[in-house]
Amino acid sequence: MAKGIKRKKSDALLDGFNYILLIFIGIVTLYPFWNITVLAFNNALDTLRGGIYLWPRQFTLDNFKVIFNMPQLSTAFINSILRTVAGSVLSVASTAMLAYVISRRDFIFQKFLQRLFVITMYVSGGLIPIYFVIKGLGLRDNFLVYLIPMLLQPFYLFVTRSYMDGLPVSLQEAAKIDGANDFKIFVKVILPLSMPIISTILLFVAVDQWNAWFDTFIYTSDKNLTTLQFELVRILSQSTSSVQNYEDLRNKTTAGGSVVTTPESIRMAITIVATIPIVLVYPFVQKYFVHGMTMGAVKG
Amino acid sequence: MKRGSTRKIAFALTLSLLFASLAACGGGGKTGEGTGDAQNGGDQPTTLSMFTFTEEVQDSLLTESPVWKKLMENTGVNIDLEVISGAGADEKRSVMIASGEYPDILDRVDERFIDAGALIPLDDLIEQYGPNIKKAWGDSLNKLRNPKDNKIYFLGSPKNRPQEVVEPNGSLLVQYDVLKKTGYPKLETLDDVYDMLAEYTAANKDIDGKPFIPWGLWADSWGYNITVNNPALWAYGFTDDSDAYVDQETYDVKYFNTTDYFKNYLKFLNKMYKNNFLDKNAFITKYDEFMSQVSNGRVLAMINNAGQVSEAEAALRQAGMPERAYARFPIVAEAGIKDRSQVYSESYDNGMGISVNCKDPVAAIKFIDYLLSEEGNVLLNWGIEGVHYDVIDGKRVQKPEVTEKWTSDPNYRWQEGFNVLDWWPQYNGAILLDDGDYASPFNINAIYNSYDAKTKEVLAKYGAKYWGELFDTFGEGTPYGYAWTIPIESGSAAQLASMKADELRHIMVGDIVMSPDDASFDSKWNTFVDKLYKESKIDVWEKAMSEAIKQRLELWGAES
Amino acid sequence: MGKQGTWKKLIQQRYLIFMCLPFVVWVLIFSYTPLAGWLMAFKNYKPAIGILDSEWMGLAYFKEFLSEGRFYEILRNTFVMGSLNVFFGTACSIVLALMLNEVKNKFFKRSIQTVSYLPHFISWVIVANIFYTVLSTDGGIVNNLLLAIGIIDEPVNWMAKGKLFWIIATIAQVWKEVGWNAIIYLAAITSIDRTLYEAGEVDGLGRLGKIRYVTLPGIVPTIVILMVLNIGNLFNATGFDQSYLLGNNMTLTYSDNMAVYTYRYGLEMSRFSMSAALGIFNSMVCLILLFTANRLSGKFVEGKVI
Repeated sequence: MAKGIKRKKSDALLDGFNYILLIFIGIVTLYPFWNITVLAFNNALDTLRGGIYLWPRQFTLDNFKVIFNMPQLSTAFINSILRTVAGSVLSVASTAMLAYVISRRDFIFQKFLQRLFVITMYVSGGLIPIYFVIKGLGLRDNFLVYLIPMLLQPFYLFVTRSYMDGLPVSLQEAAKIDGANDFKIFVKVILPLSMPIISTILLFVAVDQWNAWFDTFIYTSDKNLTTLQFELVRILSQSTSSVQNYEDLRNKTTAGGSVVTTPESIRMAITIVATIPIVLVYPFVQKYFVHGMTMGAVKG
Repeated sequence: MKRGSTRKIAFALTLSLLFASLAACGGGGKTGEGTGDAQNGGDQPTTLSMFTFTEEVQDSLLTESPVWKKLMENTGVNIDLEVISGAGADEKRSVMIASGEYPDILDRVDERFIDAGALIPLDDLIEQYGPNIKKAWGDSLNKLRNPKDNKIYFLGSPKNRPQEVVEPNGSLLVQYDVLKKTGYPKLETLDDVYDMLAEYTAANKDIDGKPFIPWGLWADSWGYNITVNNPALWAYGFTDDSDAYVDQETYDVKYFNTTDYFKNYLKFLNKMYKNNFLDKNAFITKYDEFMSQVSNGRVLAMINNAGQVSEAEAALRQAGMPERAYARFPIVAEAGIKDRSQVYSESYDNGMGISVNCKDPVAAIKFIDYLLSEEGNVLLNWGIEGVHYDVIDGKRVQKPEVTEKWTSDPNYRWQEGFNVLDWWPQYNGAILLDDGDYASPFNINAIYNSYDAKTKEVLAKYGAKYWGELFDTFGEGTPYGYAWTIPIESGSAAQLASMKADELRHIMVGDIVMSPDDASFDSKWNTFVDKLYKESKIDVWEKAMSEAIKQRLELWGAES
Repeated sequence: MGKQGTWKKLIQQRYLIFMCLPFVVWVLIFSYTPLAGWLMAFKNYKPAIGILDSEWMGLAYFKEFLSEGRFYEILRNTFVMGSLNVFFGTACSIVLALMLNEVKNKFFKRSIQTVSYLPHFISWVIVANIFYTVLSTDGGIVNNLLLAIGIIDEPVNWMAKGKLFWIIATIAQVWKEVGWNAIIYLAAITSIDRTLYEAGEVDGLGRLGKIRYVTLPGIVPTIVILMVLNIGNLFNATGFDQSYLLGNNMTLTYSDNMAVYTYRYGLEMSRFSMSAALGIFNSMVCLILLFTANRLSGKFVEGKVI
């Protein structure tokens, strides 16, 4: 009895400590982001002078106007959504399936496959040879260039495999006795049990897809294939250069206060625009993180 | 199992090699694809694809602009413009060079594209189809020749006519308030500046509770070049040879950062440091932090590119501190040295060229030629007659509403498409065209009127209408142009040496400036110079540059 | 295993073979074919004449960087910062995941988790800016705090101290990625069998006991595989931006890393061959680290990770 009370006390202490520390972590990670948001909504020239912390000093939407005046905004946005959705679904399906194959220690090529994929994490032929491959396959100026080269990432593959390793073998064996083939086992038994890791990987791949811009730059010249991130990167480059372009600035500054925005402020606005959609997706992923729910359901 | 997998890997590798060679072959055969499919036929305008390697182009605005459309109409070609710049541009360039997938026209490209074999020589084309090019460049055409084969590969904006400079770029910048409180002193030498700062800081310690930074430095990344290296060049009366100190008699090159001139300038900075005129963190200050210091009016004076602080000046004006904006002055180390910071030395290191893949080089050269014609020049700089300017008494006059929008909206010129592509083969700025009128709607009065009251007040005290008047802008340049426009072969030992030297000076120069006394200053300086020669092997670069300058002199002298 | 046995097994596992075959083709095409480009490292590759006709250089490029004094400084920086990143990054992520897992209040848990990964989306340019502001001698919060407590007498210029850079860079990296990486561990924790906790309860385990004897062992396989993969990647753990943007003149001897070196001496100068040579070197180091870590992993989990 006395022991129980003591434990309750130490638990409460532990909880208190835990909460305080987490609140601290919450503040150090949230505040900078909040500050970025504030700066994105603050007059760019005023921002240069610093000292803005919790609230905009001179509220403006100018920094966002630069972004939303982008001519290819709707095309870019649609392409980004498309590649994120299609890319994530394809990639997650492939990762899960292959992860299951290499999680099967009895598979005859298991070791070979594992090595084959893990090596690619660290070894790369470099951009130029890869470009030739992409071009040789006719993927240049092709929407598929957003999907196929990013199909698998060994890192996610092994994380998924490691999760599958932890699943009880008895279920697979039971299914096998029922006459299910390996594909069926994967779809009917493994997939449902792996929802937490699959939703995690989905989130990771979706973020990778959403943030990708380099492939747009290198592999496409068709303006119909542009993506949001790529356009954002371009806006940032252009605004940076206009600062360095002296001629331009004379005309900007002699007019006195005609400078609408600065690269620094545009960068803040871009961070917000690029992050918000992903942050909105996360709660849907979190749903699958409920402790032991799926496990219980299958076992019960 | 083990042997099996080895064999499989071997098989995979063989297969992949096969595939790679196939891919490479396929690549070779199909160069130039994706550059627009319109062929020259009938009345259809020729479509030429163009990549421009500059960040400055707001292509989405430009290509929809009336002037751009008019340009297409007048030349009968349709330019399909793509901007290659900013993040990833280096990678894009590598891929382009390796795959040979060039567009028809390459704009703002340098010798790296010549080395890669991307450009065709223009000599014959100019001879046949370039009357305006020949007229505009005249003897200066020789200055475009590539030292390796004596051929012309690209054309930029000709700089062979005198040009007035209204707003000097790299110069001494001093806050209006400092000048006012010290009685508008005559500033000639660095010592004058020092005395002025001493006088001002004796009476004025801080602003908004933050201490003043009497001498501003931004020495991080390329800030080193514009606030440490170039100021030393200006102070000793050199033109912008960047890293090179060129002996004006023998044309032998030394690395500027090893010379006594540079050492003496660092001594000046050291003096500033010892008297607390430098920010303690001057050598670690990042761009944003520096901008914030300037934008808060804390930096009293500096030698910097005026363009670097114009944003900050705008911020100061907006915050109601117009007295913290900067006056521009020429400055030298000691009396007797003549300031040549704004003197132009004609030389070219980039321009517009025609690629080896060009479907129709004749159409391309005709397009370029049009840009240098009188009509083309006026169109690109003044815009369309009746829309952007009128001809009054035989002179072009910008419409007042155009001037107004031009000075108030930074995007306006891109939307209209005029006065923006100033690196293109065309005249611009305060240069007179053959018709006796200015090449661009440059107007001292308009600029003067846009100055605020404080600026006019300070200018009046120094008896000038615009800052450029205080400088020698028509002085004689060097016979070799600017040393930095002389290409050093990419990847050569000389280029490596200069890269290593640049790393070394970023590491060591701050420490030299922050020496507590002369003895340690000297010993650190000696170590620095020693390392430049022993570790960076900067003598390799010096030798290569000396040869390159002599080669250029020969190339230019022999033919002009 | 006899020949017949192999055939039998192949037929038995035909579904597995079909399931992985497309991906084997994929990886051969997209990851192995481009390795043919490594040939560049041994030639003075000039795009104008093509790779096959370019001059043969042997190991000249490798010799160039291996014989350069500064290269070893750069190797050291890359290695030290990479190790710090990998070890502290992993440890902090695990701790955060365990902490979040102990939170009963769903709303609080989800909020903190969402907030903690926000820095992942902040670019290094901004991160560098934040760190310079926070550590500034001119009203930076760290100096102000330490001054107030009396630990220091005058502001310390943290960013000017070369060796401190390694620590600052690590803190920056951990701050940026800890929440993001914790997501994987949180997912792994959900796979732990609930009944184990109940059994722990019966055995009289307290909260800490359950973390120690149930949760932690439950995620060990995930920890080990991530460790092995990350140790392999240790050499690439600090990227170009982290070193270039966070570093400054005073820290260059401690902040320059392989990514910066490869950019400066390869891409920036259009030295394709040098880039390729450095790339091969990098790959080799990674693979050595990977397989060493893999061997060691056998001590923590049953069988090797890969």
